[in-house]
Formats: sequence, structure tokens, C-alpha cells
Amino acid sequence: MEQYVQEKSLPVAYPKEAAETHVKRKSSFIAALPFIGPFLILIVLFYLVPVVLTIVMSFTGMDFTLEWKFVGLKNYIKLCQDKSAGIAALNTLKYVASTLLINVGFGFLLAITTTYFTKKQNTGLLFQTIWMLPRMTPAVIYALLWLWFLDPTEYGMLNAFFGKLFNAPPRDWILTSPMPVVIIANGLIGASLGMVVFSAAIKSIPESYFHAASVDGATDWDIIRYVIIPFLKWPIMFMTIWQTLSLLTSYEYILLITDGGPLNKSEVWALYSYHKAFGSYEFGYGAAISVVLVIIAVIIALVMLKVFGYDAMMNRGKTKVQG
Amino acid sequence: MPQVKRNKRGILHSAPIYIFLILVSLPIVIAYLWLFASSFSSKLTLGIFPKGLTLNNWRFLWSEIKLGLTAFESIWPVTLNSILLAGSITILEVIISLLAGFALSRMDFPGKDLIMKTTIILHAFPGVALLIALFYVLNFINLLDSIMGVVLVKVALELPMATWMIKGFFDEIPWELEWAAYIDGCNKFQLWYKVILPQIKPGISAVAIFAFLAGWSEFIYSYTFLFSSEHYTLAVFLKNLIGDFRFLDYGLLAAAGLFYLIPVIVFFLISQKSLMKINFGGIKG
Amino acid sequence: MKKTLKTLVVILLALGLVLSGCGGRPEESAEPATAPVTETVVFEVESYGSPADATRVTNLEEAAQELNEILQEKGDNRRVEVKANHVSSGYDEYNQKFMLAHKTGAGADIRTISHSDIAMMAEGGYILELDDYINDSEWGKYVKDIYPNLWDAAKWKSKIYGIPQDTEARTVYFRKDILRKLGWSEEDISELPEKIEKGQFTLDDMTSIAKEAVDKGFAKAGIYHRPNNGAFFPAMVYNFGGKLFNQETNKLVFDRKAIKDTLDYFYKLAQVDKVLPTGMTSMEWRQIHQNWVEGHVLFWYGGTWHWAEYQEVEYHGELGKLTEDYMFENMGYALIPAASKGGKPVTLSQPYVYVINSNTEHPDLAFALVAISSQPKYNAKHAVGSGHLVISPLAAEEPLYKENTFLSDVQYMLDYTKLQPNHHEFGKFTSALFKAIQSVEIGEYDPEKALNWLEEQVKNDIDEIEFID
Repeated sequence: MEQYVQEKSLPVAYPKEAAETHVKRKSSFIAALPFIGPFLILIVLFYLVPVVLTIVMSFTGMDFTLEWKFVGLKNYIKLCQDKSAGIAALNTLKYVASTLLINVGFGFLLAITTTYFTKKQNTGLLFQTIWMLPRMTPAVIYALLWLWFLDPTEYGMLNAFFGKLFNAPPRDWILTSPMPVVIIANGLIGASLGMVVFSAAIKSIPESYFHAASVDGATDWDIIRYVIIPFLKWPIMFMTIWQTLSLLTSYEYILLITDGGPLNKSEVWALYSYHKAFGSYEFGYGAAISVVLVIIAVIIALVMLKVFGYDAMMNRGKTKVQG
Repeated sequence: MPQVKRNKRGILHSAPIYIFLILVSLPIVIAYLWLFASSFSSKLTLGIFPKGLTLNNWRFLWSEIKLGLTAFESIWPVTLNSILLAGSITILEVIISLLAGFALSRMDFPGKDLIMKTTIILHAFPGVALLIALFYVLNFINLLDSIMGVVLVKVALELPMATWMIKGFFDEIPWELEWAAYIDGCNKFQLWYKVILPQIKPGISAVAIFAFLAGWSEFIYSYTFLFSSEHYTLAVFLKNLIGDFRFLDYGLLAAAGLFYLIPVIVFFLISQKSLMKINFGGIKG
Repeated sequence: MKKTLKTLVVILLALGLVLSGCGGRPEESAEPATAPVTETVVFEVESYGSPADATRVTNLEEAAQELNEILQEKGDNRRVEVKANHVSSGYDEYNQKFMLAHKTGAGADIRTISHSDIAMMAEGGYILELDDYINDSEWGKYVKDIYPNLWDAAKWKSKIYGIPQDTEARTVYFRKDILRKLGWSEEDISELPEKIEKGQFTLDDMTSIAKEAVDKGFAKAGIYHRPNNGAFFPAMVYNFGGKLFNQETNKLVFDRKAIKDTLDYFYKLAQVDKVLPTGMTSMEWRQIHQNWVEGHVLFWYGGTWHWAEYQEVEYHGELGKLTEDYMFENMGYALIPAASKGGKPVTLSQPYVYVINSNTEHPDLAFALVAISSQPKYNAKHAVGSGHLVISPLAAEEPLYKENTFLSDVQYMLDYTKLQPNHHEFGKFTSALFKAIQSVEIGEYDPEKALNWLEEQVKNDIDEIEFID
């Protein structure tokens, strides 16, 4: 096995005296197979093959008969003329951008506050558990909680609250502001993923870093800026890309809370695909809608990887930090 | 852990942090307290305060629920199915992602780049769009109406995320550790198992939590690919309980929802706590 | 080295277990004989409906006993066994699961579906055409008596694909207690259904009384309707003289004028007269029922099946389940009033039908089972238990059914009833129609704009539709 050491600049700005080595080993595919094999089998069988099948399906007029009737580009031509699709695309843009901000930004805030600032671990854990609740709740129950919470009559929790406090008349939250409802409902769930991943990453920062920083008289802000953020660069980048893609394809909570309504106001692209496929049995058309989403998502993913520096991310594993 | 160097600062300093945390968490706490209170209330209004203490909503724990002529399955076998499903998903997902994450982080082999890029791109495919195609695949390998079929599908869909996450944790491990192990004559599996794994426990815990959560709340594939009632999971049971007809009282629903929630909360707390102890016990003592 | 091996073995075992330890699907439902003398035919049957509708399958279980006795007498060595499943959640998924299972050669042998899905199921080859069994088989006699209009509902391209199982009617319920507060005499109240039937009391009258009740503070809302897509909305299009289907061309029809009138109606209710909550379409079912049974709403566009539901489910905050006496005292029921004076009132029925899987191995026995369960004694039991109407005049004569005041009272509604078209694209039409109605109720669009939106939507989504003015 070939091994060599290589010098490389360190992504971590602190501590000053840190040295780094970069080690790379060449392995054959066969050597990696025991590790990567099970992964590949599952991915190919239950991911790659279905994806290919779905792409093929997008060129068929598969409907309630479930027959593969090839129709060429018909679905794609139809999609180009579909006004509802345009609305769905716009909604998706709004939805993804806003929810992403909550998922990553607020998730980071929660991770910092519960892991770094909270002195007692149990207290931090308590808050983390609270924030995990929405994610742990089965989707149907979570959606029902929202529906009860936002019930348009004066019995709805939010209306009762505003009614008692400000004597405000009951409002129909879901019908008047479907997008904010959908964004917040999803954000509450998404933020916890960021929180857990970022917290785990903060915990894996070697203790000596904090120690050294604090001896140097660094403020909390310094520590966040120069220790935590550089260390969390990779998880944050990963989360951003990942959540973007997740949000692009997410539809379940929207389906349960607003079902895309009223009219098309909260209909996002993935939900539109679902509605077409399972609401009106246009499986071929639904598949075409998904395929377009994939093309867009792939472009976004590639751009993001480029911007964040894919190679740097890939080669992180060979970076070694001495504390 | 961070708290060491922070004892010199007083309560005052962290007060804004706590106020912030409490404020943002309050709505969630209220909502779930309300859910909890509802499950013990006989009369449930949609308002803020449920009333009338009762255990009746939890009756599904000891008796079967009957609605008209329909009797629902007892909740216990259904719960067992859910445990089997979520447990298998967690174990498989953790093992496979640990193996793959190690290879992707620590080895350099042809096709690695392609694999990593492909898995990200695959994630861009809406899971629901795959339902029909997955149906054909499962039918082809004769795994329809089998819990293991759902397990494999779910693991495959969750794997890219888990693997990328694990890879990130492997990446953070100092190379020297590995180096030392090689010098000691460890081979790759020993290295993986004895040296590296203990280093990334927080990562394993994170992956395990999300795998278990994904398995526990898995609904659409169980609902679509499991036909026989003896394979029903809690999510499917709950969906059937709610029904399209809203016949059931919300109290029962709240109780069933909480019953569904409890195992995950416990799992989350255990995995979080035990891992923290292992990693930071020294500092605590 | 040992450690490594151990790890490897564990992993391989785990994988092996996963890949192999998963049994195949259960065998085909009809199994070969275990005993030499009789052959047991297992029928998987499934039905959809509220829990009270479970008689849709339990009737088949009982009919199996009867069938087996007949088979024994005939010397037929086959015996039928029923494996029943009643589903109360997700009608679309209920059908989709069957369609997928059918593709693998499986799927329940006998199912109940809404008659309006016959087109889809028949066109897709999922279910058997039944004309020969009905006309020529020895079991045909059990179903001869079924009302002709129900047979029409079970037809696709003039062939019969389903055996009617039950039917219902959509009614307007009204609160007698609120009308009394408005100064109506008992006589006025008891005459209302008749006035509606004769076309003397119209939709506009209904709206103005609702407005009066709301203005005087006797009701929180004047009128409620269902919160989600459903057959009620096409019924209103019929009420405004609309046509939904062209029998000759087998195409759906988009009747601009009637749809515009329908949209105008709902716009007026919610936005002009404000007798209907603008957020009607985002309300929870349970909340709707609670407000209704507690007497906060004057009119409720419900259905006959709700009558049974209010006696079964604790919707009322204080009374819980309602007694029928309370209901007769406080609630009345009538057809949906005509849109104009002297017009004909309407209601709409959505009969449920038994259909037989085209994969089934013993279609003759499946048909026999369904036919036997169509007899009055079974059918009346289902009707009374679930608030549905029976399928034949003979069943209407069953003592159990005749004793039921409510059902006997509403039986006449079948003379006014309409059906939804059996066309596979009709579901797309109703869901778009619902959205358009929602948009005028919340004040997002005015009726004109909503009509244009709907027309564009329909043009885009539906292939087989023609437009008339």
C-alpha cells in the first residue's frame, strides 16, 4: 500500500501552532468493496433502479391502468404549457429559501445555545429534546396539532389566545396565510436536524481548543467565530446542500396541513407531482414533473458543490490537526 | 466540554441565552402539554384548557378498540412490528453507513468520486415519485407485503444522508490515530472497529437517532407495500384510527399519538446521555 | 485477526438474515383443497366506509354460511370462506393499493367501491363484467329486484360491472329549535320538507332565513357544507340545471352557465350574505359536527348517513351521543331546495357497489356470494345500521327497515336523486370545481374570475371534456 504525506493549508484558524499533515492512500476498488459493497447493493437496487424506472415512466402515459404506454415527450410538452406548474415553481422557490433559513440558521443557533452556552448538559438536553418533539411526532399527529392550533373558529388555540388577550376576532390562519404556516411548520421540524448534527460536531471539537482560547482571553464571540464555525464549516455546508434538496422534494406536511391550498397558493413542485400521480392517476405526468425537479436539483447541487468547494470537502478526511 | 472554562462567568451572563431558549421553546411546550392534558381529559374542547380527568383515552393499552362493527387490532403486536421495523432500519443503516463512510473518508479508490456525487444527486429525487417503481422492484424480488422489504427500501433511501454524515465525522478524526494503529499491526477492519469507531460516537448517535426516527415514523412505504394486517405498524394503525371519518374522540387520538412518541423520546434521551457520559465523563468527575 | 473475522461474520450474517429471512407474499387467495371431499375457497373481501359501514363485509361473511348450505344441497364440493377487511381511511389509497396488488396477480376478490369508480376499474381491466352472471346464472334471481337506477349507476359503456350494495341521499338538515326562535309555528316547520319538494321554498329563501337567524343572533352560522371535495358540489351544479356528462360522446361536460351560477351561489353565501363561514373549507369535520349538533348552525348540507352518525358518536359537548328523540325534536331534513321557484329540488346519490376482481379464480362463487348478500334481510340490516338506503323495493318492505322512521321518511328522495357520471376523469373535475368554490368563498376570486380559472384548469387537466354555454 502506497502512502505519502503532503502539506496542506489548515481550514482551522486556531490554534496558531497547529501543524497538519495530509495523508493519502491508494486502494483498489476490490479492497474497498467489503466496506462499500452493502451500501452499493442497497443504493443500486432500491434507489438507482427505481430512479431509472421513474425516468422511463416519465416518457409514458401511465395512468390508472398502470400500463407503460410510451408517448415520447408528450408529458414534457404538457408541462411547459401548464400554468399551475409555473405557480408551483414560484411557491417552491419561496418555500425552500425561507425554510432553509430556519433549518440551517435557527438550527445553528439552537446548537450553539444548547451545546456551547448552556452550562448544565441536562438543561441543554432538555431544550434539545423539546425541539426534537416535532420531528419525533408522527406526521399525522403533528399535522393535526397544527390544525387544532390554527382552527378558524374561536375555539382554535391561537384564536382563543388572541381572543382572550387582545379581544381579536377569530382568524382563518390557514386560508389567509398558507405559505407562512407551511414554512414554520416545516422549519420547526427541519431546525432539529441542524441542531443535532451541529451539536454533535461541536461536541467533537477537542476540548483543548476551548481551553486554549479561554486562556488567551477569547470572548464567546471569538470562540464561535474562530473555533466553532471553522470546525462546523463542513457540517454547515453539508446541511445547506442537503436541506435544499430535502426541501425541494418535501411535500408530506404540506399535504397534511394545507394540501397545497387554498387554490394553488401553497402547492409546491413535489406536492404537485404527488397530486398528479396519486390524486388524478397521471403517473407518467407525475414522473415527468419529478424528473424536471431532479434536473433542477442536480444543477443546484452541482453549483453549490462548486461554490463550497467540492474537492476541499472530499479531501477533508486527510487533514490532521494537532492540538 | 465547553463548560470547563466557563465557570468563571456567572448566571447573569447566560441569562439572555436561557431567556431566548425558553421563549422560542414555549409554543412547542404548550402544544405538547396540551396534547398530554388532552389524553387524560374526558371532555376535549378545541380551546386551551381540556377538562375532566380520565384514563379512558388510554384504553387501547388494555382492551381492543371497537368502532361500530370494526374492531382494531390490539396495539401490542402492531407496536412490536414498529420496533422490528425501526430497529432493523437503525442497525442496518448504522452498520452500512459506518462501513461506507469509512471507505469514503479514509480510502481512495476508483469510482469514489462518482459514488459520492451520485448519492447527493439521488437525494434530489422525491421519494414519493419512486413509489410505483419501488413497487415493481419489490415485486420482482418477492419482498412485497414483508416488513423486511420496507426496511431495505427505507435504509436505501436514508443511506446517502447517513453515510455523508458519518463521513464527516470520520474526516474529523486525526490521521495519527490510524497511523499508530497501523504501526501496531492492525488491519483495516480492526482499525475501523477498534480505533476509529470509538472516536465517532457522537456521529453514530446522531445517525442512529435519525435512522430510528425515520424507521419509527415511516408511513408511506408501510402503508403502500404492506397488505396484511399482521404486518401493520403503528403509523399505519394510527392512520386507520384517525380514518377519514373523524369518528374517534381527539382524546384517544392524543393518547395514541403520545404512545407513539414515548419510545422515540426515550431512545433519544438514552443515546444522547450515554454518549455524553462516555465522551465527557472525565471532565464531569 | 480473530476479531476481524468475527466482525465480518456478524455483518454477513446480519445481511444474510435481512436478504433471506423475509418470506414471500402469501399465496393466491384460492387455495387447493386440503381435505379430499370439500374444497375451501377463501375469498379476500374488502370494503371502504365509516366504521358503521362494516356490514358491507360482515354481510358477506354471513352470506357465506348461506351459500355453503346451498352448495352442500347442490352437491357442489366447494365451500366458501371469507377473509374480511374493512377500511376507514384513505379511499384513494384503498383503491391504489388494490390496483398495485392486482398488477401482481393478487388483490381482494370482492370489494366495495363507489359506483363512480366503475369507469376507472372497468377500463383498467381490474374488475369483471357481470352481465352474464346476472342474466344467465342460477344466482341472478337474488339481484333481479334491485332498482333500475342503481343498475345504471353500476354500468360502464352500458355493461354492468358492479352489484349495487347501498345508496344514500344528500339532505338539507335544519334546526327546528332555531326556526321556533324565529317565530315559526310547528306547522310551518313540519311543512317545510313538503314545500321544498314542491319547489315553493328555494335556495334564496333558505339563504334569507339563514341570514335572519344570524342577524338576530340565534345562530352563529346560517349554513354549513362539507369542508372538502365531495359529491355535494356536483349536486349543486345539477341543481342549477347543469349537465356534467354527454352520454352519446362518453365525454364530460363543462356547463359554463350552471357552473357560474353555482359559483355565484357560494360567493353570495360566504361573501355577500355572510351566512356561511368564509373559512368553511378549512374547518375540521369534528368541529362542524359539534357546532351542528349543539345547535349553532341553522342549515347543514349533510347526508342521510349522518343521522346514524349523530347517535353513534359523541359530538355534543354535553349530551354526547344524541338520542333519536332529541334529533326528531330539534332537527328536520329535506331535499336540497330548487334553485328557482317552482323548480325541482335535487339530491345526489353515490351508490356503493360490489365489484369482483378479474384475477379471482372462482368468479361464479364470488358472484354467488355477492348475490346472496343482496337479499333484503342482509341489505336492510346494513341500511339501518349505517343510515343508508336499501337497494330494492323488497328490502324497503323489511320490517326492520320499515320501522325506522327516518329511513322511511327519506326513501322518497330517491325519486329526485341524480348520479355522478361514470367517467375516469370526473375526479379531476370535482377537485378543480371544489378549489374554484373555495376561492370564491374566501374572497380570493370573484365568480367570473373563478370560472375562468376553472375552465383553464379543466382544459389543461382533462382530455375528454366538451364545453357548453
